Amino acid sequence: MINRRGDGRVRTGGTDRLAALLVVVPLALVPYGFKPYAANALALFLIYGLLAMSLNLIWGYAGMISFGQTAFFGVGAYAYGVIALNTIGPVGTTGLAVVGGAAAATALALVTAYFVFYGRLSDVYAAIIMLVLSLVLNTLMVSTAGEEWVIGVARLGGFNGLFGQGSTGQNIGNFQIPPITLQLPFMAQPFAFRIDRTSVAGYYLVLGACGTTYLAARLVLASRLGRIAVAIRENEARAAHLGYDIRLCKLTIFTLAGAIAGLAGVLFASWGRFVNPDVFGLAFASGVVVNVLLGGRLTLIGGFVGALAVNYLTSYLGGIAPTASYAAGGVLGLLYDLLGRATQQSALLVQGAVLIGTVLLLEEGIVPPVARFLSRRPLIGWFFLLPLLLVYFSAQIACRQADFCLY
Amino acid sequence: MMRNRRGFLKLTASAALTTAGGITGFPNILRIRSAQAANEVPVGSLLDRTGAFNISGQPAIVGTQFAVNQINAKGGLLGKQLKLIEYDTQSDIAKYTQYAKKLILEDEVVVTHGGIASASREAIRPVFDEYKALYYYDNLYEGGVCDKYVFCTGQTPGQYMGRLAEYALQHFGKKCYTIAADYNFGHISWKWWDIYWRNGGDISPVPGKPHGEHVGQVEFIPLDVTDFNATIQRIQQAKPDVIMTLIAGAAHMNFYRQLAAAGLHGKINIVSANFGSGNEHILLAPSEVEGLVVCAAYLDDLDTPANRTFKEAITKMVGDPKYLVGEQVCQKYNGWNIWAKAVETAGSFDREAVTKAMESGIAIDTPLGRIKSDAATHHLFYTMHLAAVNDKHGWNILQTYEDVPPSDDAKYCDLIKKPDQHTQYQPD
Amino acid sequence: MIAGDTIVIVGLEILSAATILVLLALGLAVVFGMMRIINLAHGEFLTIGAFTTLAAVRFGGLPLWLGMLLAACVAGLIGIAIERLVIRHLYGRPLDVMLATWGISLILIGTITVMFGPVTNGLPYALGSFTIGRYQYSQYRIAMTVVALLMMLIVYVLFHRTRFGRQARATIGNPEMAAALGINTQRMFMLTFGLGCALAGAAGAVLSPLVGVVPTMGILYIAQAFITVIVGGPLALVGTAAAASLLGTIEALIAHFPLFHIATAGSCTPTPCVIAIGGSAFFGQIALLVFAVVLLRLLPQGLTGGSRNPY
Repeated sequence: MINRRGDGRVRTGGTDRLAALLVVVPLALVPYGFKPYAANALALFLIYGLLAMSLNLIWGYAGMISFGQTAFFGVGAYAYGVIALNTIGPVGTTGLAVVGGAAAATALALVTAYFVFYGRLSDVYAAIIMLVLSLVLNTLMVSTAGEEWVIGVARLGGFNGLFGQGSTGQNIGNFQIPPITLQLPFMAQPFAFRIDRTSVAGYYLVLGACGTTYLAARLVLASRLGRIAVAIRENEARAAHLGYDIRLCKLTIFTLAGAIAGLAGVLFASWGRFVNPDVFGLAFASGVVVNVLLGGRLTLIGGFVGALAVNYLTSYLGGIAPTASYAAGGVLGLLYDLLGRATQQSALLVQGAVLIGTVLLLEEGIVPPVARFLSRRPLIGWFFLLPLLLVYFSAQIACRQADFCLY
Repeated sequence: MMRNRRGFLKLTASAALTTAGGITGFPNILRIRSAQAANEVPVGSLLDRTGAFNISGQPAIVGTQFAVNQINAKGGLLGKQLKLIEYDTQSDIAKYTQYAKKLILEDEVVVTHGGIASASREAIRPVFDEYKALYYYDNLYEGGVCDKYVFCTGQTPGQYMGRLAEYALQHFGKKCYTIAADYNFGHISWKWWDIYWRNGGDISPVPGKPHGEHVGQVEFIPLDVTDFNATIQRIQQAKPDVIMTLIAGAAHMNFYRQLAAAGLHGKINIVSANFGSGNEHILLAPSEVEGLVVCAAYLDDLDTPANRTFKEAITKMVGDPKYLVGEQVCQKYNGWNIWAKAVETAGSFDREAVTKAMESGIAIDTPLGRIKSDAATHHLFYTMHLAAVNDKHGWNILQTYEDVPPSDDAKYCDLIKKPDQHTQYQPD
Repeated sequence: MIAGDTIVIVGLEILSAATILVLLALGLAVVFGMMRIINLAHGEFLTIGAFTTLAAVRFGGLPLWLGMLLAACVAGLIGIAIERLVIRHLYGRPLDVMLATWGISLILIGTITVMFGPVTNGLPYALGSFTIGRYQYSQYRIAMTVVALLMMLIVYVLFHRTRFGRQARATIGNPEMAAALGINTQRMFMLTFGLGCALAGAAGAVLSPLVGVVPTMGILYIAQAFITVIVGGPLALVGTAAAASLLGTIEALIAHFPLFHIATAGSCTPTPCVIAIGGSAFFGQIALLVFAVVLLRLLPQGLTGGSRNPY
C-alpha cells in the first residue's frame, strides 16, 4: 500500500497485489456481468475518478488545494471536441484531437501554475484564484451561443454545448463530437471506441487510461520529484531551507495534474459526445473536492474510490421517487410534506452532510483505514474478500450469459 | 486497529460506507427487483427535481405525474398500465445523458418525456438518435429542432412572436429595443424576433404591412447578472417605443423591478416572449409590470371549463388549494396526452407506429384549447392567446388565435419529404 | 464628447457598483480578513438575510427596515450556532474550514429550499426615482450607499471604540496572550464570527429588493465577495472600502463603455459579425476578475498589505 511515511518508495508486496486484484478484477468484469448501462455509467464514474486523482496528486502529494481542476478538465474536453470535429472528416481518426486536448489543458495548467507559484501567492489565495479561473471560463463559454463563435466547423454553442456545423443545403445541420477513433497499426480501418449495445471498447479504453495513468503517477511519485513533493507537503519552509526548488517542483506537479485532468476531459467528451459550460461550473468543481475528501486525500487511489462512491450515491438518490408529499392536512400532513420536500433536496443535503461529516470525523477518508486493516490482516483479504468478489462476479456473468438473472 | 476507539470507529464507518455504496450502487443478487408485470409498460421522465432548474422542474413533475395517473385511472393505454420511471437529473447535464442511457438500455422504456433547458435537450437528443428511441420535449423553446425520433410539443418563436409583433406595431410603435439572455435561447430567439419584427409579424416580408425597426444594439445579458443599471441607462438613451424581453432565469426578473424603480414603468411599453412561464406576474408587483403583453399558449387565468376542471384536479392532487398551476404543468400534461392519443391511434407502443400516428395529424383538446400535431415538423399547431398583465397579478386576455402554425420550423424542416434528419436548424 | 448627464450617471453607476461590493464583502472582511476563516457559506448568510426580510415583510407585515434588522439578528444567531457546532473544531486547519463551510452552504441551500420552495420571490421597492438630464435613476440605490456607509461606521465604532472591539482585536491578534490576560477567547471568536454573519445577513436584506430572492442567490456573489476581501488586504475596513471602490470603478466603466470591436468570420444578420469587447455587464464582471488577478500578482498581500499593524 501507499507508504504512509511518505518517503516515496513504492513498496510492492502482498497487499499491493491484493489491492490491485480487488479493484481491477471487478472493474474489468463489469461489462460481462451486467447490462450495457452499467458499463456506461461506470465509465463516467471512472472518468470523474481520473479527474479526482489529478486533485489527489496536487493535494496529497504537494499539499496544495485547487478548486480549479475542472478548468483543465473543461479545456481538455472542449479542445478535444473542437479538434475532433474538424479532423474527423479529412483524417478519419481523432488521435490528433486526443493529443491536442491534453496538450491544451497542460498548457493552461503550466501558465496558471507559473502565475500562481512564481507570484508568491499563498496557498489559500491560489486555491481561490483557480476557482475564479473556472468561473470565468464558465461565464465566457455560456456567452458563446452566437454564430460568430465558431472555430472551423465547430460551433462553441454556448449553453447548448459544442457541436459541428455540417452544410446541408442552406441551413445548419449539426453533428456531434465523435468518440475517440483510432487506427492502431494492426487495424485495417479506424476503430471507434464506443460504449453501446454491441461494443464496450470505450469502457475498456477508459479503464485502460485510468490504469495507465495511475501507474505512471505512481512512478513519478517514486522518483526524486515525488519525494520532494512529499517533503513540501509535510513542511514547505523546511524543504525550502534544505535547498530544494519549491516552485519548480510545485509547477511540475501541478502541470502534470493538469495534464491528467485534461485527459479526463478528453475521455468525457468522447463518452457523452457532448460538452457544455457546466464543466466549468461551481457545482462540478466542488464535486471533485468532495470525491477526494471522501475517498482520502493522502492516497492516490482515494479520488477514484470517492468518485465512485459519491456518484453511485447521487445516481441512486436521483432514482428515488418522492415520498408521498400529497397527503392529508394537519400536523402530520405538514411533517409528511416537509419530509417529501427534504427528500427532494436530498442530493444537496447528503453532499453537504458528507462534506461536514468527513471533515470533522473522517479526515483521512475511506481508503486509509481500510488499507491499514488489509495490510495488517492480509489473510482476510486473500481468503475472504477476493473469493467473495470472484464468486459474485462469476454468478453474475453466468446468469447474464444464460439470460437467467433474477432481475 | 483496536488500539483506539477513534480508529475503530473510522474503520467501521469506512466499511459501512463502502458496503452501503456497493448495495445501493451495484444491482445485486440481494435486491431482486420486482419482475416486469405483463400488463405494465415502462415510460420514462427526465426532469430536474433539484438544483438550479427545479423552479421549472417541480411543476413539470407535477404535470407528468398527474397525466400518467389520469391515464392509468382510465384503464391505461391499450389495456396496459403505464409504469412511470422518473429520474432527477439534478440540473446536471451529464446526468441527463447518463439517465437517458439508463432509461433506454436498462429500463427499456417505450417513450421518454423530459428536458427543461435547451442544453439538456441537446445533450440527450443524440442519445435517442443513436439508440433510435422515442423522445418528447415538452417545453417552449427557441425552435428549429428537426429530428425523426423527436417530437417537440412546446411553442416555437413562430407561435409566440408573430402575433405579438403585429400587436406591438399596431398599438405601441415601430422602434424596438431588445434585451436577451446571453445563451442559446436568447441568441436564437433574437434572430427570430429580428425577422418577425422587421416583417411585421410574418416570417417573410408582406408588402404593404407595417414593419418595425430596431433601435440600439441588441443587448445580451449573462444569466447571473442581477444589476441592470447600465442597461436601463442605454434604454433611456435609445428612446424606444417598446422593449422586447427575451430574458430568462431568476436573476433576470430584476430587470422589471429595476426598470420600474427608475420610474420607467408606463413610460415605455414592454412585450416579452416568455414572461409568465416562471410565474413572474405573480411575483412582481402590478406597479412594476402591469400592461406587459405576451403571446402565450397557457395562462392560468384562462376561463374555460376545461381549464377550471384541470386546475381543480391539480390542486387536489398537490393538496394545496393555493397552488399555482402554471405553464410547465400544462405543457407536460399536453405532451403526455398527445403521445397517448398517438399510441391509441397507432394501436401499438412501437416507435415507428407512434411516429406515423403523430404524422397523421392527430388533435386533442387541452385546458388551453386545441392542439394539433404538424406532420412535417414534428411540432404542434397551437391555440395562442394575446394577453396583458392586469392589476391583480393576473392576465387580461386580449385575443385568441387558433391553429397557429410553427412557421419558423416549417420554413426549414420537412420530415415527410426528408425523414432522415436529426438536427436543430437556426434562422439564416 | 460625453454629455454632462452621462458623466453624472456613470459616476452614480460606479458608486452603485462599489456599494454592492462593499455590502457583499464587509461581513467576509470580518470573518476572513480578520479571523482568517474561509467561510464558503458566506453567500448563504446573504440568502438567509434576504429570506428573513422576505418572510418578515410578506408574512409578518413588518416595514422593510425592521425586516432588515431582523435579518441581521437571525443571520448572526445562525452564524453563532455554526461556529459552536462546526467551525470551533477546525481552527488552524484552513483547508478543512473551507470544505466544512462548503458543506454547510449546501445544507443551508437545501434547507432554505425545503422551507420556502424553489420559487423566486420579490420585495417591492420602497422608494421612487429621480431625474438627471435624460436619465432616471433609482433612489433606492442611493439609500443603499448610505446604508453601506452606516454599516462600515458601525463596524469601525464597534472594533475601535468599544471594549468588546479591543478584546476582539486582541484575541484575533494573539489568542494565547489574550487568554492569559483573562479574555474569554472562545466567546470572542464566537461573537466575532456571529458579527460577520450578521453583517452578511444585513447585506442580503439590503440587496433583496434589488435582486431576486432565490435559495441559490448566494452562489452568484461569493466569488465577488472573496475577491474584494483578498484584494483589500489585511486591513478589514480600509482595505474593503478601497478594494470595493477600485473594483467597482473598473466594473462600472467597462460595463458602460465598449472598448473595441473584433470582427469575426461567420454569417450574422443584421450586422456583420462583430464581438464587442466591453459595454456589457459580462465584460464588467470579466474586467473585475482580470484586474483583481493582475493586482494580486503585483501586490500579493492586497492593497493594504504594506501596513505593519493591521489593527
